Amino acid sequence: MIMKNRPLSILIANLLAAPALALAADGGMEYTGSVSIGARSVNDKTQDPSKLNEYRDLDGGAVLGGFELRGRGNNYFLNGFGENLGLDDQYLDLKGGKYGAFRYQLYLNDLRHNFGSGPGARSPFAGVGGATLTAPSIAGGFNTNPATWNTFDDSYKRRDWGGMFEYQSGSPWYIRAEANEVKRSGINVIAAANGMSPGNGFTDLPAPIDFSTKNYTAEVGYSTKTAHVAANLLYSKFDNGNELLSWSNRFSNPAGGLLDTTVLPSDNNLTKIGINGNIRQLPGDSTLAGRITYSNLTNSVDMLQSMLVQFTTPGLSNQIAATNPSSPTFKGKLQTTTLAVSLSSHPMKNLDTRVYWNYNNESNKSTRMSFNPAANQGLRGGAASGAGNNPPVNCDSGGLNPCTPEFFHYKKNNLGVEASYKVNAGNKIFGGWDYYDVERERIDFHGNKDNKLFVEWKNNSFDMVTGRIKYHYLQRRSDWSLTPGLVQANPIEPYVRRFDLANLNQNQVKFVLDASPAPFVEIGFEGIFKKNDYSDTTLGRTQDSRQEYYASLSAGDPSVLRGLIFGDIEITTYDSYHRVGTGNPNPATAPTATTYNWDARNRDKSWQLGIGADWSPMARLKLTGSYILAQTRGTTDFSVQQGGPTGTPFPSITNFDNTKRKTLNLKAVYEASKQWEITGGYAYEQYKYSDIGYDNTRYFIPSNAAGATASNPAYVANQQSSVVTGRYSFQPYTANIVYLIGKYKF
Amino acid sequence: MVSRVYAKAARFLAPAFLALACLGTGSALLPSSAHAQATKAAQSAKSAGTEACVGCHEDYVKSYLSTKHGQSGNASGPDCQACHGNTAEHVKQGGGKGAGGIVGFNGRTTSAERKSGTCLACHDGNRHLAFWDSGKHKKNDVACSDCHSLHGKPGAGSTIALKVTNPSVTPYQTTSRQLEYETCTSCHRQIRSQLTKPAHHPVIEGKIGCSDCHNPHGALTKMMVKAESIPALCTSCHAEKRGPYVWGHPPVEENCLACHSAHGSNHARLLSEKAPNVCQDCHDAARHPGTIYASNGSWTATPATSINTRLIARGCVNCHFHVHGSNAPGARGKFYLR
Repeated sequence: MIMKNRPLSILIANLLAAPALALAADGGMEYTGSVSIGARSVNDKTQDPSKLNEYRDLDGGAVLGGFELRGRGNNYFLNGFGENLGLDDQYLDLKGGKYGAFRYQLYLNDLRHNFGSGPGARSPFAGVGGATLTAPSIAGGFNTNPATWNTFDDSYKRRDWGGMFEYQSGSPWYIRAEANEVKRSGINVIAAANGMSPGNGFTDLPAPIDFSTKNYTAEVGYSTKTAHVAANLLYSKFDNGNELLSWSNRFSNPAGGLLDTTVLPSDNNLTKIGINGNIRQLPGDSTLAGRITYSNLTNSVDMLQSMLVQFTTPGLSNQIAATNPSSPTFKGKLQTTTLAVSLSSHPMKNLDTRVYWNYNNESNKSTRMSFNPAANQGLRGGAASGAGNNPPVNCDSGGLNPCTPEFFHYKKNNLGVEASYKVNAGNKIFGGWDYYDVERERIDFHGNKDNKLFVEWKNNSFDMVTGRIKYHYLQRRSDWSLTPGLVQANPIEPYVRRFDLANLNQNQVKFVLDASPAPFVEIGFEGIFKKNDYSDTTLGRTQDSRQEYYASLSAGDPSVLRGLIFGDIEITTYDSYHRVGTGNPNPATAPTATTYNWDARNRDKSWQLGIGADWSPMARLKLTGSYILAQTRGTTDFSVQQGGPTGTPFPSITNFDNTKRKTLNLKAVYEASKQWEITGGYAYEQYKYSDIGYDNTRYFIPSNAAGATASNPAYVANQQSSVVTGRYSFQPYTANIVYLIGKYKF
Repeated sequence: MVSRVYAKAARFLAPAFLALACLGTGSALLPSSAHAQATKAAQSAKSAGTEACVGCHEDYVKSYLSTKHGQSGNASGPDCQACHGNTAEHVKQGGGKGAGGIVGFNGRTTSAERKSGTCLACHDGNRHLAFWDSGKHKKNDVACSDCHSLHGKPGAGSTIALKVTNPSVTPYQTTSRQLEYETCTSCHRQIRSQLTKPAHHPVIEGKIGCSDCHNPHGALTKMMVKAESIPALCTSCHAEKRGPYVWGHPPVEENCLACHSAHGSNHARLLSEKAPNVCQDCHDAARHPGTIYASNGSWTATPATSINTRLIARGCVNCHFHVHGSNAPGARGKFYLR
């Protein structure tokens, strides 16, 4: 509570004290400003207003309070601003300083990120908001009557407050210090598999959010017209008030009493030192710029020595199994060194060049953990090596290998050269080459080399038109190999290439046109086409493409009437190829009814149309209005290899995050007198949402393994059921917002 | 141990820093006598420099004098001629656009280099502009005056005036502040479109700004981001995802953008592609990662036991929630289940 009030009181103290101090020192500070107060009424029709309120506090009626203070003196300046005082999206800011000497800022920025409420935030657990979630200790599954579940507020509040001070007076030397704290508190729904197999169901877990990130930065620098050098230090500390979440797992412990554990984000500390600088006015009108940083990210996690695991025979016994970690504590340590050097030159008339080198080395010096839980106790995954259809390379349930995490780190070198040449007054051409050479420790891709070439032509030969067309080609070639053990463990792996690093040929064309055919008339068009071909990929993403078109027309004199209309279309397509089944993993082999290849095409289409205008029908009245109509559609089509399953339906998905949004926003500002200004507005919003993952949510999925159905009595003898909280399931809304604000100006 | 020292130092320095800032508008930090002299000289020069212009350009002169540049005590604040050129020949020729070599900043006749050069003549020693020469904006002929309005009145809550060339077309906003994205998206149309998608960072709501992630004044990094790498940038806010993890997920370590679209997406959590598809693009195996999850596994499936737990809600993440990394032991961590 004290923490909450502190930044506010500091700011208020500043606002009250600063003007007096400044006036005394300045001998004539002139202040202007305003105090405003108003009211807002929100009438919404929705089951769950969280989407309406996602980042805005529109929760019913509200008193709107705000202020602005602007001081200008011969030597000092001051700006204070506050709005939405007392609301979840409160904002306070104080900036000031002395010309040519110092400046400072203090701020507080609040928001609440809302995910679900009402029917969109229900849970069978007691203790929501804390670190222990318990369900009634009745043998069997969850309470299947969501109407009796607990409701909660699925949201977290974020408060960012801090300040900055910079001093540089009559000298090239300067100092700068920043400090801020970001606090997040509330609830975020996470989830967990009930057991190890997806057939065992999953459970939504309302987990507590009690995060704090404190950042402190200090910088000392020397900056002149010919050179700049700065050394800086960052210390950032993340604290989580709850590093473990305990919860009743009805699958693993149907009798109740024993709790499962989910490991939440651990505290961490980041220290970073850096030096950056430049030297200007070198031969060839060159500027040499560079930056070197070294960071050390650490954490310390006490390993769970035992965990609740799934029962071996339903209803017979509960188990707590030893995890047998190789070290009781995981000491995380990631050390990152980066270097960036850039030489920008103007070697001859009309020619600009830039050569650069970026180096990034992330070194993982964390504890090399391994776990050796006993065989067949639920802390190992898959079947024993060689005995099952998909045993992991280690951590096999037979206990033949310890569970050993992959160790990942990398070293990147990025070189490039760019040049632009002004052919004549109306034409400029650009070209460049960008090269990556990456070495990494990873189980599949051990390195890659990327070559990217681009050319661009810009033409403004006509006074009223500027056009730009850019093409780039990127070729990525990766060093890929698998260990025999990995292939043996997962025989399909040799045919899989992960798209983030798979061999790639990328082509992109971008076209931009801006025209001003008449005074106060602007026409703009932008088209982008991008295609990625993962040419050597058999299983995985094989290609994706994007088409984007943006057009706009604005017209009118800003001081009287101006308008804007725009239209955007975006189409993205992802093609992928897969194989399923326990038979021969080679996709080139003949399919069977249970082992076969299939492909998917995912397509997202979105468009929006916007229109808006500013109008000053008289000197004292300003009207603004805008309307947006936007739509998104997501689909997936499947096709199955001929010779595969017959008669098995794989119907397309036609609603992956389908939305339709209409927003109308009208505002009028009337200057009633020199001191009084009245602002009134009306907004209408309609949001429709349909998604296959959230439409017709039932909260509860019985498992076929236990033969249960949704019509079972309140408690069913089914430990493998799944439960969700309803997040995102009741988002559609219609809202009318009316507000009136009076502002007194001084 | 080192962390404790830092934390103690920070705890000590933070109140001192805040106290210093509280006294900021006072006379705690006095300028040198040389600076005071320069201020006086600038005051008289500025007064003389504007007199020649005010007769014809009264509105511009007035608006300029209300800015920080125009304050008489601002020694480094230029007069009209410092930016627009010598007025003598301009007056002699009777005025008019470009007459007497006078420089305008709104038209296309003056090159971006010339426009920016005028500002850099004073500001190139500023730390914020240290990497202007290496940035994309300079390369693409973006001038300071394309974004900044030297004669404009700063919007609510701002000390500098940004140019907003178009009417604001947005859903209802609870802020009245001047939001910098309106300036940036007058050129970056693609970003304007993405910022209003169903899933987006709170940019149009005014809770973060473009310059929280990008440095429009130039940077050594790609896309002029403010950190050395994409993960370093993202985890500066999403600090809970920094790790280090016992069980890491390699794409997370290397590039958040492998799965997320930072400016906006049709899909929750800014995913570039909907789960389970985005996961299946990398993970194929004999069992559930390689299975088709078609629409017959939706919530309306009958019997209810046919509802597919890998399709509904978050898809794969229903079980494998800790995809950014896990510190749980054994297979519970390996498969990101706990």
